[in-house]
Amino acid sequence: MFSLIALSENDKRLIFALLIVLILVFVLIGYIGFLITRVMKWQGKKLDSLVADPVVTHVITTRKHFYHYARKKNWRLFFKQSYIAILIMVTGALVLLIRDAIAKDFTYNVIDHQKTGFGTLLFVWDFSGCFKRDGISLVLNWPKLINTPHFEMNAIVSYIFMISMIVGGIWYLVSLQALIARTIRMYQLSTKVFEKSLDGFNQNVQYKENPPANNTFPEN
Amino acid sequence: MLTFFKNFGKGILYVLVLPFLLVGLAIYGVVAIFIFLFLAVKGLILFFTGRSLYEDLPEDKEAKRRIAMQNGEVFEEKPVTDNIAHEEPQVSNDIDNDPTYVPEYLKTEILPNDKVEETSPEAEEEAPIEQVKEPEKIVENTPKNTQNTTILDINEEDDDDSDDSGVTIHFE
Repeated sequence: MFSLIALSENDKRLIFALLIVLILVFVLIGYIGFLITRVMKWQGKKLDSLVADPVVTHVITTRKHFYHYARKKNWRLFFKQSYIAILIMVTGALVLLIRDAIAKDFTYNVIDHQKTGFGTLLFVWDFSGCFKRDGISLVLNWPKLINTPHFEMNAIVSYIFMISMIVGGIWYLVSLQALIARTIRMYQLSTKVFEKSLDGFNQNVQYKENPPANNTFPEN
Repeated sequence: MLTFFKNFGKGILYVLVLPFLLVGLAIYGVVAIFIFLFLAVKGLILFFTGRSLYEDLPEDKEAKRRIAMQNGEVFEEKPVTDNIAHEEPQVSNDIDNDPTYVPEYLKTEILPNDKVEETSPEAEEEAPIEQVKEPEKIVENTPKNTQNTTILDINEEDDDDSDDSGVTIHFE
């Protein structure tokens, strides 16, 4: 009735090793996520210093006012932190555009690994012949190395473009992450700072400890 | 060991939520670019009008004013800087060493037709200062017909109700 899958010792060891690797991968992702959340909490603290003065001096007294004010400060800081990254990316794009306009060739491949692309500086493997199906079984082959890092003069515009895009892109993403972190902090503060809670407040206890000015205590 | 499994659980959670996070990040990134372009244009316009994108908001100015008041300082608002050069009169703020300084309450306007009596410093020194007379002497110097009169005397004298203009009050 049941067809049992017969596993050899090697198969069992392989499955066990794959499970261990999978668990370690998830744990690693968990640590990376923990690191990202810690960094975002640290980035979000910056908003406190931006909005502290008007809140502490009671210039801002409502949640809506705080939200509008904090949003303005948040976007201004994002602009200040990210305009250099945008300028770097725009400069790289302009270099490529000028090159294409001068050479009148808009088919310039920036990721090519042979002559004109950024791939000339990287190791490139061919994965096309890795998996072969032979009947029921699957044959695995090592990928073939088709390029080793080498410098090409024709690809110099690709180098400038890709490096500016990578640097500017990472810089912009970090600024974007900081913006998101401060936005989350803004929502947290808008509820926490103006929250009115009566937890732990007992009117009678409060009244006994601090009697009114005429020193008369009402008798029930 | 517990931390290990916690991180394992968090890792699974992050892998499951990752596509949604990436979509949210992409949308936020696109919106951020539009906001960036808006602020860039706004910054350019403010720059050419002599202002700055990073200038203090009204809430910041009010907060600084209140903090300065609390510290006993004087809050001076920075003037709006423009690209136009203004000629400002040079005003000396050093009161102690400025020989031409005159307080506001001593300044008087002298019209062209007014004659200013020129007095010599010697004449000013010789001019006697009026002394305040003692109350007894004031009483002695008052006219005789009004001396030692009281309110009763006034009422007796003034029987005529039609004439109410001659009522005087004296202090003894």
